[in-house]
Amino acid sequence: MEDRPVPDYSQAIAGARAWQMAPTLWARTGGILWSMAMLNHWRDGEEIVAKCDAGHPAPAPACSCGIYAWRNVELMFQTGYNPSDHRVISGVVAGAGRVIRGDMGYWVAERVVVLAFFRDPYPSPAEEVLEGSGVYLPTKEEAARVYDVPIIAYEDFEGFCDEYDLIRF
Amino acid sequence: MITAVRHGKEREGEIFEPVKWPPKRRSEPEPRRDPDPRREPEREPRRKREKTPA
Repeated sequence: MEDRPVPDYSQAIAGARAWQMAPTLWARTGGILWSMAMLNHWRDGEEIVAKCDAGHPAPAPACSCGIYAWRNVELMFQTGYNPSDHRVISGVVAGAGRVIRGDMGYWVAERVVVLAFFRDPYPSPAEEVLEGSGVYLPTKEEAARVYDVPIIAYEDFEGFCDEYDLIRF
Repeated sequence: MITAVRHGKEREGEIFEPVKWPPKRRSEPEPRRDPDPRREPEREPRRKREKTPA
């Protein structure tokens, strides 16, 4: 059994982040949510657990591994990671396990779950994978259904985090 | 390509072990015990009340 240090907090850390919506049928098979760089997919409705190819526990101070989120909505906007079209969706996440708080306003965690999606002015169009196929790309409403989470306003972030007893910094 | 990242030195290696994981809403309502409101319970057709002799 791994020898883990005593926890610093008995609650999860609050975060806001954005994802690319799966842009193809192939991508959809991996999950609706993809990292902004389309390098990692999030399995629908599941907790995501970070692993590093280098073999060390994730996250680590000198490595890019781990799951990232901004501390709050304002930082997500300030850094330009907010949705600016229908291909991007954003939401509230909770982080747990090992966490590194970076000095740029983000944190990197070992484990993350999605708790809500943000309502934005870019609704998903009904977009067929192939014309006439009858198979459609996922919508933001579908993401909320699949994850079984609410869609909330950006300004409700703080109150939402309080309701879930998340730690905010 | 990013091969290494310096996360800054604000805090390193904190451990968050939530008592509730995944986090649940504090005021999570108890699951409803009522039957699904979309499905009306089947009712027997109303019988005409028969008048009983006084």
